[in-house]
Amino acid sequence: MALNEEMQTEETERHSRGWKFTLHLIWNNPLMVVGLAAVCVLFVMAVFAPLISTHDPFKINPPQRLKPPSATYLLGTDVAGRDIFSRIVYGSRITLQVGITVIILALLIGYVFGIVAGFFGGGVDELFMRITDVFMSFPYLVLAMGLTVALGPSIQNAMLAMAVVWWPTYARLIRSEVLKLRGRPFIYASKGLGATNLFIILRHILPNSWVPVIVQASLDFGRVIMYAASLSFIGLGAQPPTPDWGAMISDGRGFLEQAWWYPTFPGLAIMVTILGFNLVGDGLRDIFDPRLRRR
Amino acid sequence: MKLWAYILRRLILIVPTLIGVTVITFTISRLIPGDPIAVSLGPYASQEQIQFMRAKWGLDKPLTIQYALYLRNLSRGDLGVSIHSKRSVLDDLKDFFPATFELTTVSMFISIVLGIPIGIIAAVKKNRWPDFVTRLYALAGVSMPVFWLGLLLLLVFYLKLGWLPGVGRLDPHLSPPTSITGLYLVDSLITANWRVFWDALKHILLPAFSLSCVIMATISRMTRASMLEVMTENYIKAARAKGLSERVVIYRHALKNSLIPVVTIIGVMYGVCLAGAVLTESIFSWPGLGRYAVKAITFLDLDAIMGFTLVATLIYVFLNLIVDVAYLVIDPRIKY
Amino acid sequence: MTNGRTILKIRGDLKTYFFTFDGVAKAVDGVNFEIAEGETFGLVGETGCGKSVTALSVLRLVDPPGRVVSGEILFEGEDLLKMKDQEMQQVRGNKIGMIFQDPMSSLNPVMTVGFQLKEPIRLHQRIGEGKADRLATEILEQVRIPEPSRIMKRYPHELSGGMQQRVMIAIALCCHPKLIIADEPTTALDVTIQAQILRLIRDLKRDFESSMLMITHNLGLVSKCCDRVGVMYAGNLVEVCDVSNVFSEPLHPYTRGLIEAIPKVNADRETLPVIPGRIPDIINPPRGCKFHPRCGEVGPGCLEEKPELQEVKPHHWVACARVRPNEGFVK
Repeated sequence: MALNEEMQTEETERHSRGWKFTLHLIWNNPLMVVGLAAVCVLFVMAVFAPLISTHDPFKINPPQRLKPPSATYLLGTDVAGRDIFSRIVYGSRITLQVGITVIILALLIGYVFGIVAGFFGGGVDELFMRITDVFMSFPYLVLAMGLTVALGPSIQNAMLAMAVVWWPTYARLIRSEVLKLRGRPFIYASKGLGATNLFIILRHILPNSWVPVIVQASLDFGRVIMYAASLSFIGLGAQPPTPDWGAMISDGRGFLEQAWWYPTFPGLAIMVTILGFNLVGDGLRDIFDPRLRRR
Repeated sequence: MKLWAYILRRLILIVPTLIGVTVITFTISRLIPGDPIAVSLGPYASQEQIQFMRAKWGLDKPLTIQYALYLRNLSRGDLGVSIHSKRSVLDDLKDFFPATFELTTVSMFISIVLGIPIGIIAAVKKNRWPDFVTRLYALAGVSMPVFWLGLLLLLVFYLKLGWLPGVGRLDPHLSPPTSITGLYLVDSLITANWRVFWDALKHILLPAFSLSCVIMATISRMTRASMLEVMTENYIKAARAKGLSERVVIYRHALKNSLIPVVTIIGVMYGVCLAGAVLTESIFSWPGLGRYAVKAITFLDLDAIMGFTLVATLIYVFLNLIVDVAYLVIDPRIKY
Repeated sequence: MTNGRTILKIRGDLKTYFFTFDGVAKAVDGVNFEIAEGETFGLVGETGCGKSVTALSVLRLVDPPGRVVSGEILFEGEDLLKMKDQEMQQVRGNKIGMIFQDPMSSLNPVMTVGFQLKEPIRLHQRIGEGKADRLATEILEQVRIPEPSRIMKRYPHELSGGMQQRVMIAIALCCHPKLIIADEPTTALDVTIQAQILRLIRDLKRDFESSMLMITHNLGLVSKCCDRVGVMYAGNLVEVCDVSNVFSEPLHPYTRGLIEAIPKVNADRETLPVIPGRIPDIINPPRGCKFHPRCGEVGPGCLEEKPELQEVKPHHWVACARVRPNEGFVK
């Protein structure tokens, strides 16, 4: 009888780590579900843009400039007569592209530096910390601004600049994960069995370090989009006539009085997108938080 | 170790970081594709003229010498000349600094003074409506682009309702107060210039509020989270066991402990504020460093932009140092 | 149940439940006992049996999702559970003082020791700073802290574990409470300090003529400090008797298991007898007697009804279907 109880307790413990429990956690977090929905809508918009948009986002139509939202022009038209709704739909492609590119780039650079610093330690690590210190001393956005101006305002340069500003965060996170793992007995065991450093890195370190990185990346996605929109707003990102949301707000500024819809709707799109990603990021963080899983 | 010794030690440690910062700004300024000299001399300049100018500006020397020259200029306060204003960048920055300082300070003030109590109330009334409203606001606040929010506020409060002005620091018919600090609010108070004070206050309200909305969201969220954690600590239960009223327990015992993590993010928040100022000043035509930088970008005025980058970073670094020291003073457990 | 006047009387089946996501955890599931004036009552049991929650329930310090759902806690005749918040605050720290388990985490890290000590003094005795200072110094001397005025300026983390616990004791006793609740006061301390602190608590209790509710899992401590003992298991009291009886004649099978598990130097055994199994789930406890899955003497009646405490001998109460009054254990 006593043994049964022991087995019961074990099963409960296993149960709290399984896939079913994860889905249950997601389902019980309505905010995260909303976030996922928003993100899905974004993806659908980006992929099926030609099918969803009502007009050609690039076609200039001067007689229809600055028209308010109506049945034909769902969200109104801009200064060149282009349909704002269609431009927002196409703009989702740029938003997604930029977000994914910047994060992947930052992750790649960050992983390389982070692993090298964490794994080899010593002088290399010291140098790494100094370098990341310098990069992280710049206030948010200022370095990206300067870099993009120097390289020339374009969306590719903006993405590059953002990746340059972002990598230290990931590098440090990865470094701390590597440090945590390096001291674990199984690494020593592996070395004792003759594994090369590269093998250990690829086979043991990488697979075990990705969880906090994914959580951080999902939390960051929203911020990257915010940066990108800010850069475009100042004129440093996508160049006209690309339907970038930040650039659209910038274009629409001057028409705030007579055409309030012009800067308002792209901004709403940005906000909903960032909100969606933030909710998903928060949800992921809660899911992977070991303390919260043991309920 | 005494506090002064610690501060001195930190200041010395900052030097390598600052040098690193200058290395980066220098590298960025040398990154421009194309030849700036040839561009500024125009398409009819001859090769000898270009070479001459390059030698004059030291652009033909190896990069390390160029960097040394760059540092030397920096130490003299020479940040270059702005293409647009034709003045030394340093003078430009000095002119526009007070406006930005006033805006960011007022913003941070609003954020802290409103954000912390909101966070406390949300924590104390957890899962009841003040909490939900606060969390909703925090989520929304963090997701809104600050420049978009500024535009919306302009639309509602200036264009539609006409309650508040939307451009600049002061009504064009009024002249600014005697310049003691350069901060209109402070100067007009000191000189008892009530009309100007009131006008300046009305002008700063919208931009400061739009800036602070975003920051306040983070601060209130952080305060709430910190407060919730502190409330589960054993010493809170022990405080209640002494017979102290719940009010005393919250405001005397819990608050100080929960503010400690909040203080640590204030430095970062100021960085967000600085960056946000760039965007907000642009929207409200606020004559500060931010608007200066944006204008410089439009003209690709590299010296001006690099000057701005350097100065903004310097301010940020020192502010973080102050925050670190404040953190040390508040938490008696930290040894220095 | 007792001799002399009663200072604390828990009756009406005290029940404190925690309403969690996974179900209702019945931490205290029907507890009744009394403490007489001047006596030390030990509440003993394994971790998770509900003894700490019982103590917290007395002071109404149980945090949500926990709540007292039934019962009466009579202190000096008045039901604490029915008091208004202000009235309860006048009892806490004043008439009932609580010593917590881990002094490091029970003291506010950002306040000086002196400030935290003077708080209850100033609150309950309504005196000024100067007088409070003197009283605080006095009580620190009584808990045998050297150089009290210097210590008062220190922060908790600057003191050793033993000193911190003395400060905690000073805070709990500064207003000369009628009842002292000590929740595992020595568990978090070094073994060498434990004896000192224990002696201190005993001496002060005697000097102040208080009663004490001592929560512990350490039977050795019980034998040194307590007059009477209550053994708890999974939220219920299974045996209540004088301290000598609990060691010489334990009647409940669980108590017997605990006593037999104490290593004795001169015992003629090779292996230490242990109680098999684990403590039950308090959300879904076993039917009938909660101990029955682990009991060596389980019988058919044990699975049907939860046994109540019965006075089977003078001043000796047991909750077991197999123990008959005046007969002892019936096989």
